[in-house]
Amino acid sequence: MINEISQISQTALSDIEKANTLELLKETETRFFGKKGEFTSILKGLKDLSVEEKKNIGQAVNKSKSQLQEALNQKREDILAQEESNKFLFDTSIPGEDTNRGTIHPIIQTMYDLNDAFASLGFDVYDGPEISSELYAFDNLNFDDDHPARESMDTYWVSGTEDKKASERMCLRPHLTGGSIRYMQNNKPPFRFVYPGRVFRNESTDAGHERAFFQYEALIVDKEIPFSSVQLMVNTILEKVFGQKVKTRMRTGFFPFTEPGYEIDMQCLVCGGKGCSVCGQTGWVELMPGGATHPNVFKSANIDPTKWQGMYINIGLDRLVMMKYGIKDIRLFHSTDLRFLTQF
Amino acid sequence: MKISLNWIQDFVDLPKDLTPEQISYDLTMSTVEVEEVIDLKKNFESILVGKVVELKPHPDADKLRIAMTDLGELGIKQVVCGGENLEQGMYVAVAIPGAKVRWHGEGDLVKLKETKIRGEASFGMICASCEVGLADLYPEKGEKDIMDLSARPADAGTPLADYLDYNDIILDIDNKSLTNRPDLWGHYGMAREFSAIYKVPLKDLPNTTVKNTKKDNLKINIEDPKRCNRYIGTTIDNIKVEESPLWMKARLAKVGQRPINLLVDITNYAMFTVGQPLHAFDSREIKDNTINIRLSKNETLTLLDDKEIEISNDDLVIADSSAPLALAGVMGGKNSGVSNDTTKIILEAAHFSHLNIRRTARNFGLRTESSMRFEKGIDSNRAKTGSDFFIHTLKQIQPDMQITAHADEYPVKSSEIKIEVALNYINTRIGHDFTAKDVTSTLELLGYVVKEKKEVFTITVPEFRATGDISLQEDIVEEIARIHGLDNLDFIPPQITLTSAISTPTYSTERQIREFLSFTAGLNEVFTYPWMENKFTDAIGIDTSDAFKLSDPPSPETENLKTSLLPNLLQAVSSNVRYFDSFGLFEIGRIFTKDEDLIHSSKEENLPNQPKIIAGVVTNKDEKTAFLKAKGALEGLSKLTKINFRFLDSSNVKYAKGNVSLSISANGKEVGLLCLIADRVLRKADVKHANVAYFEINFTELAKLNKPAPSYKELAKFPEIDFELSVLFDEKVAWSDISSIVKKSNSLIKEVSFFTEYQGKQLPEGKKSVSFNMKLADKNATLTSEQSQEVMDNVLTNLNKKLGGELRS
Repeated sequence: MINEISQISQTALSDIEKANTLELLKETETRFFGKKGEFTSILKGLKDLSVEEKKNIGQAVNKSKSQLQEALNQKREDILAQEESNKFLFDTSIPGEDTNRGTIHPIIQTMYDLNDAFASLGFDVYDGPEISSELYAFDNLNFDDDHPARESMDTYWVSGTEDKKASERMCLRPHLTGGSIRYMQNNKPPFRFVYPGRVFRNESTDAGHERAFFQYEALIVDKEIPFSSVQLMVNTILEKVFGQKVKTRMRTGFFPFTEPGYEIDMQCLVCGGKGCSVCGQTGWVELMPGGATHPNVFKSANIDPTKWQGMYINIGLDRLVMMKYGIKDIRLFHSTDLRFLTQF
Repeated sequence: MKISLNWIQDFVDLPKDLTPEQISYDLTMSTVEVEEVIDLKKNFESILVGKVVELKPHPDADKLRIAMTDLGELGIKQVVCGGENLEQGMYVAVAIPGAKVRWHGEGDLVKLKETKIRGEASFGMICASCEVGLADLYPEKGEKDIMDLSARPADAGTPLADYLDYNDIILDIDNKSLTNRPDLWGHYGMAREFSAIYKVPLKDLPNTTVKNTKKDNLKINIEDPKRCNRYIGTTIDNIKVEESPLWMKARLAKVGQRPINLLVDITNYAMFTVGQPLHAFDSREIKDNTINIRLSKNETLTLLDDKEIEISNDDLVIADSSAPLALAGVMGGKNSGVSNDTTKIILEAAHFSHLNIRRTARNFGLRTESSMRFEKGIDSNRAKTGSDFFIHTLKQIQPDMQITAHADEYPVKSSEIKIEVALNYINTRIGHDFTAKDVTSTLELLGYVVKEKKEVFTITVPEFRATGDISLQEDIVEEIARIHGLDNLDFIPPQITLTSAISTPTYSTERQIREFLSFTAGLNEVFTYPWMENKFTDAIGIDTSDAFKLSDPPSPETENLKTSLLPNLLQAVSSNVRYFDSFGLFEIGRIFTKDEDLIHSSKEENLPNQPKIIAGVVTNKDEKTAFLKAKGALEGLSKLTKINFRFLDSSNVKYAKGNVSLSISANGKEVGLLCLIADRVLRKADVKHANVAYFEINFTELAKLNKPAPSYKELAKFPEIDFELSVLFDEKVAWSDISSIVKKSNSLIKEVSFFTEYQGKQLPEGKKSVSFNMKLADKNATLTSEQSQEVMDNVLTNLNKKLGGELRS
């Protein structure tokens, strides 16, 4: 009888394996486990056997039964999985639901990148007024009384104040450096901070010139800040912004509010330094002026120039962003054109 | 400014192994920015000096001739030429195949090939001066003239570049980078920089001694030494106004100065060499041998360029005993200048105040080589250098000239500047270990006199740098650093003092808001100018009489500075609406208001109030969608900042459409507004087929508000029940009233939230159905169905009694 059971089991297993639809599987199940099924009839025959035999055969039957049951379940799962995976529900190539994400201005995006980079070096963030007096725009910065930048062909003066002097004469800030004196007056050195913002110059516009553009100033005031460390810092930060090593060079430059001053150029990313129309065939792009804070500027900020040393850099963000994306017309930044802005 | 490297090499021997590009790079790194390196000889490749040995008529053309031209090693070649001045025996410039020329001086450069002209072979081309860019050097007398080199014959076949000394490199220097270096406005000053950069000695200028002579009684009167600090006048007799030698003309032409005649050319040559502008007067035109340097007294003067000007009381002139002769330091007068029959001149070498010259040049719109140099503030000693150099050069060319008077008026001598600085100071500032010898030798090459004692230097600044340029220890640091090369320093990480952690709450909030408005609310950030265009302020009806105005605005239409962000945003909508149907924009920017609140930025400065405003527009075909999107953005912003916004009906927004106008208040203070823009405004602003919702929040005020302390609500212990009700109301009933009545109906109602509203065919006219959800809960027990029923009854009774609401069946 044991043999018979094992034979039936074998047949059942192979039939289960062969059944490849749920209907066939059901049929197979009934054939063995139904009211008139082969297993059922064996179990029915048990009642005629001895106690000992009952026990042995009963065990064998139960073992086979659970084995087969498992095989049935497994097969059912397989068939269901197969059927489901063959089903076509809908076209998956249609676009997903729009999250309606807008954009931050590309210059602000880069400003935030820079802010994060400088914040990681412990720089504060400063923000100042856009209408400034001549005192803070020029006088405090050691500009000559007759400096051409003070003329209305360079700076936007506020009507009604244009003939006044110093704190009474108002303009749209022509640069950020004047504003940074306000920070210096309100904080005790040592400190370091960045000062991002828009500045305004009265000039005619073309692909390379704008009336409003974004500057990014960073100033450290501490005991000892040698020049070489500024270039190192600049390199570190540019690397973060561009995601790659950027070659820079530092050369002499002159600004009334620095002594000494310098210019930092970046190797042109468009041509890799070979010379192209973007860099005017020189291979280098002027990126930021900077320098050591002029003692006269420190004096107007009530900081002792014999005790403290300052180091500026002042990044032209428009240029930097143009370099980053290969943008050829600076006027696009103020165009409010969504076809441009939504690309970033 | 253009610099010739050959000219530089008169004064310093540049290292032989350096390319022009390297020289230009080094100068850029240490001194001034070189914009372009021009290799002059490239323009003259395959252009030779030729001699016309035989001239024959062209058999087939009246206006052409055949010139058999000796080209040295190339032999005698046949060239067809139309030059009317061509003669046998003439020395000419011949472009041979491969040369690049500009036909008749117009159009692009053309590469020359051997050709046939009207059947006759022509090996090359005999050039007119304009065809090879030498019109300044060889002015054409007739339209069809070719360039005649016969005045200075040379071997046939000599390359033209050699003949003209055009085997030269020109560095074009950015004038802006020269503004603070008056000493560099001549070749000698530049040569000094090269001498320091390459550590090679600078040669002396030719030595000339001119004694004060009074054979001619020359009287010089300086009215105000503050305006003219030195005037050297020299009367020179027995001179001849002729053409300058070719070498001088070539040098002037190379740096962009047109040669005129020997006297004028030498003044220019001296200026381009030592940087001192000079002027030569015809002595016949100077009345009473008197030169007065004085302010004008409302006089007129005809300048060299034939322009007659009226001179105010504040401009300095050079005058004789009766009338002005020249606008000092800017331009000479037409009548007193050198003419072809001049035999005696008075040479002027002077020093004028740079402020004066700058103002005068600006007043008359005259930027001359002379005014450009004076306005930078050159030193007084240079007048003498320039005068000496002129006399030396003239004597070389016309040895018979005689000085009959020489007077040097120098009332107030400029004082010497001394700077004391320690080696240690220099090294710490730069971040490099220079030796005392390094410092001394660099400074000496730059013209400083240096005394060193125990690593402390006492430095005398040369007069040509003591013009406001060098006066501080920091200036000496710069000299050492730039000549060494800022780019050649080792990188040393900065030593930073750590003080406190950085806390920037206002900045962080602004950034959060900006990221929310764009990334979550789906608006796009724009930048607009700080001024507004009249078209849009007019369209909106903004009164600009109170706006700050620019004295010299970009255009008459844009003189008003922002008093609101709306005009520029509306302008942005009008330019985008033709490409997009539905979109949102926002800007974070300042407005400028003439209110009482001034910003006391410091003890000395009060600035106009200029709060930062966050403003946005949502554009959509459907007005309600536009409005609700904008309102959703504001509600989200309120949640984000944890500052509760209250929206209240507002009727004082004049540009709003219908009743859709709300004010926004937070902590009891009005901080902004939200509205739909009226159709009439949109029409005037050229916004067609779209509705625009506008909001603005005063960020400066918002940032000042206190936020509630962070907290959380405990989760309910007993189940909550949600109910939805749809109630019919008159269409004018406000949701804000409905929700507050519902909420007050029973204390078990914990939350009331709007679900939807409906108006349409299935409802009576003027009615709307409002569906809303309520959350019911009891803190201490599970609610029974009797309790819920009671709540419903309360709600419906209240809504009916107070707002006429009826349950929709």
